[in-house]
Amino acid sequence: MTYVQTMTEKETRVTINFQHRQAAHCESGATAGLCRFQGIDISEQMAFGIGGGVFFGYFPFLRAAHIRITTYRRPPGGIVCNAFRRLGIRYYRKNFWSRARAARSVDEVLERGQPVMCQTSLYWLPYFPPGMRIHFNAHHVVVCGREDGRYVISDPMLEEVVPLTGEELTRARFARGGMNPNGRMYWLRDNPEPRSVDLSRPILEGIRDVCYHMLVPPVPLLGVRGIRFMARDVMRWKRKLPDDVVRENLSQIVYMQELVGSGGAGYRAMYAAFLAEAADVMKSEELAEAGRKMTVIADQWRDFAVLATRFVRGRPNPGDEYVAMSDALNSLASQEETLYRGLREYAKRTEASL
Amino acid sequence: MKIKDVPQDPGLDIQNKLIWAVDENGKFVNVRSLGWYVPETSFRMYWAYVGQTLKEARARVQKGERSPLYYWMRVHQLSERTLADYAGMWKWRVKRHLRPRVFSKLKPKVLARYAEALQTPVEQLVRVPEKDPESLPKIEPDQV
Repeated sequence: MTYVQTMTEKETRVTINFQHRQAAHCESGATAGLCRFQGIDISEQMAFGIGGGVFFGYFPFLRAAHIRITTYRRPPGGIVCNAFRRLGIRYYRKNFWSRARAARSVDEVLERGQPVMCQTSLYWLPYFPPGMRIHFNAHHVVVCGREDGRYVISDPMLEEVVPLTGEELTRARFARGGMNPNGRMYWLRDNPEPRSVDLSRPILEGIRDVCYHMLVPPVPLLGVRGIRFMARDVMRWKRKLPDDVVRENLSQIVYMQELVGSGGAGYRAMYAAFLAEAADVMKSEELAEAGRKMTVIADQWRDFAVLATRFVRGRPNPGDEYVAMSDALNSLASQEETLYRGLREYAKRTEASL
Repeated sequence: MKIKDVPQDPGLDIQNKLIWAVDENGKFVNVRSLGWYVPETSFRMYWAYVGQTLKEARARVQKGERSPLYYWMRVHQLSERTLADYAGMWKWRVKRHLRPRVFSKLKPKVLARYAEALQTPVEQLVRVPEKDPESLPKIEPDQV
């Protein structure tokens, strides 16, 4: 198994007029970057909301590199595809078997003057501090040029673009384990051209998508029911598990909520920002109100993280921590449910009148 | 979250990440944050766990129960299955190679595959180093 370096054949320099902007979350940041390149100037939270990013899933039986999976967002790739489709941007998406071909494809697209979005693993990206390099395989970066035999990477988490060798990039793109990227990359089909798109329909579709996935799936682990399931599980731990195992479980939930993908509060803060921006676009007081409610929910998720961390650290806390955590989750579930029900009604009503 | 509430506790996470906050007019803005002690605790928990597994792996290799490959697998926080995936081998084969007697007789070609998969030179792969690699954050369980 040898990595093929394409750099030796082609040392040429490729510069693409791709504007790097730091973002709170990798996938939506990269998506917004590509949209901006295409000529549709949208913010990160807009890409996130149109892509229908918010979700909840609780999978205590699945582990990725020791961490139990609790997800606060849709599966990797969902935001990109949904956002592009709803905005009417034509794009390609490709997985690879062959590393050589995957590396060559990046070069080909770059030479056509298009940036490439790649799914990579945090573990193999050397520019992150060592403490952050975990086996998380759904980190999205944009390759936006080639210089001195290295690729120019626009990583939405960082302030500046960073260089990366072809070998490192290929390794990160072919990480193994859960959600392995298989060298997946996205690139745009058309040449950039500034245009103004009516955002109202994509916004409504995005909102409806989120409401559907939070309310409808008849599986107790998904959506609002998943939050309730987690609340029940916390009470179950009280009876069944020793304290140090509970500590580990809670720390992993907080880990997934506050660290993975970043942005904080399980993406609820970003979604609140999206709702506020959508309210401006749609000129709707109802959406603005929903945004304010979402902010409250985001803060409560943070409070839950604080509560859990207090337990993890073993700080004395008056009252029963288990009940407090379980109650916090249950209250979050009901608040989110009310919010999504309202949003669903709103989207249905407004879409009919469009 | 108000702008003044944005946490600024530096730690293992990347510095200067963006966090959503609300300014005094109720508008959403991105604010730079150095980190927060809450996710930091989770991080430290994780790295403390990694440190524990390394200690245990080292002891088992030194006792002759496991081959050095076991230690390196733990350094890279891989399971047998993911290691097999990275090396392009069957899981049962990797598990076999975790036995010291099998590992000591491995052909250079097979070792090279592991070396490539783990990005570790073969000379390092065949024994457990004195100290754990510098790149791993070292957190003791009581420092969480």
